[in-house]
Amino acid sequence: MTRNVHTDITGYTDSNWVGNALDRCSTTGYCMLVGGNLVSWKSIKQQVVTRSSAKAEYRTMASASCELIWGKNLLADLGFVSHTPMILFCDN
Amino acid sequence: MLIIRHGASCLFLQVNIQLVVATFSRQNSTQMKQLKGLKPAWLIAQGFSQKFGIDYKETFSPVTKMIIVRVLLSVAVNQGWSLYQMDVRNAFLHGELEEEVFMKLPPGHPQSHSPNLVCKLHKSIYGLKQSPRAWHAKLNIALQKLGFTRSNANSSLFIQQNSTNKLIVLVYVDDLIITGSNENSVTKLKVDLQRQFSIKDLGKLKYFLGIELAISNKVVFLNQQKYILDILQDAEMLHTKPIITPLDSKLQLDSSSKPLLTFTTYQRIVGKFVYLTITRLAITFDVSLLSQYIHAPTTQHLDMMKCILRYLKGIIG
Repeated sequence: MTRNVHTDITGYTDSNWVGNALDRCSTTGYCMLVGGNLVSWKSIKQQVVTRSSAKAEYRTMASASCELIWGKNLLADLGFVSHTPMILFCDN
Repeated sequence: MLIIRHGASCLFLQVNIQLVVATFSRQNSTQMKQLKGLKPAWLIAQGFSQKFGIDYKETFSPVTKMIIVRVLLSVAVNQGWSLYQMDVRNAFLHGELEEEVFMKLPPGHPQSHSPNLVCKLHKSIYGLKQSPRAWHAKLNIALQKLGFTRSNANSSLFIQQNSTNKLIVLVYVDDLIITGSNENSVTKLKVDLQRQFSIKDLGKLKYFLGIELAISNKVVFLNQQKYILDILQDAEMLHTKPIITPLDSKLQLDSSSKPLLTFTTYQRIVGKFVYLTITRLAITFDVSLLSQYIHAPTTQHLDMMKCILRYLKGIIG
């Protein structure tokens, strides 16, 4: 972890469409950075079958935004209220 | 006999009540070895002799998630705050019991054979089901009296803030991480806590939950080198030949390989791998793959586990 002199939140997401060929479920993958340092990450098979890679990507971004909002609330509890929007990157 | 002196009172039994049994257990920790000549023993309640609804009700006790620890480290290094660590001695003995718990006199007590004499516990002792919860409640009250508020995001995170200062305490059962914008208020908090609990000041944060931390004012470096060495020793593979990748990229699982007859070692070591993924993300996939077969591993899974151990041997340097 390095010093970047900010406490902004950034998220990166990606998905693997039909990651599992047997049940045709896609895979969610995201990571969250707080203050430029990696703090949280996840890679998990989605519960439903998506018919397009865009939909799989969209579902991934939805789960990642949940995590980001939790992180924003945690930082607010710690006394770091941010008014700038959090940035979420996706791979479309 | 601290517990008899402070934690319990003896009384005569009038009616039949639910009794908890306790035994003594010798601790072989390094801390104990320092007490030369003494052979101290812990009085441990046998939690399985407790009955739900009589001896205990709620037992849930919150612990910190690793994510919160990482967020705190990231915030501290970005703000240039120092991190400190404290450790509570005999933490569970501080907890106060809400329930009425009666205990048989411990073995070795001069009157342990008299049938009608029992102890009534005032404070929680090790082994009771509600001890972790009682201790957390006690610490929660103590910190709130010192002006801390509990975070909504995690109930083990305590924050004290006014217009100029911020002070954050993160609790992991009996380990406390303290950080804040003002060094003086950190020192004051340490004194306040030491007044209430028997608590050890471990100075700057160096070693927390098996993770070594190297902290400078620009970088925090997390390392589990000692933990890897412990795993290798446990698996008796300290002198193994290292490899550079944890698993074969074209690995095919063979359903015809023989099931293992004894697999407690496999289960224990894969369990340790899970904890190692905190700093070693490279083995995450391999560990999740091995974890899927934790209930019925085969010889192939054992070989895969050995590959990961050889990879770990290679990365500790």
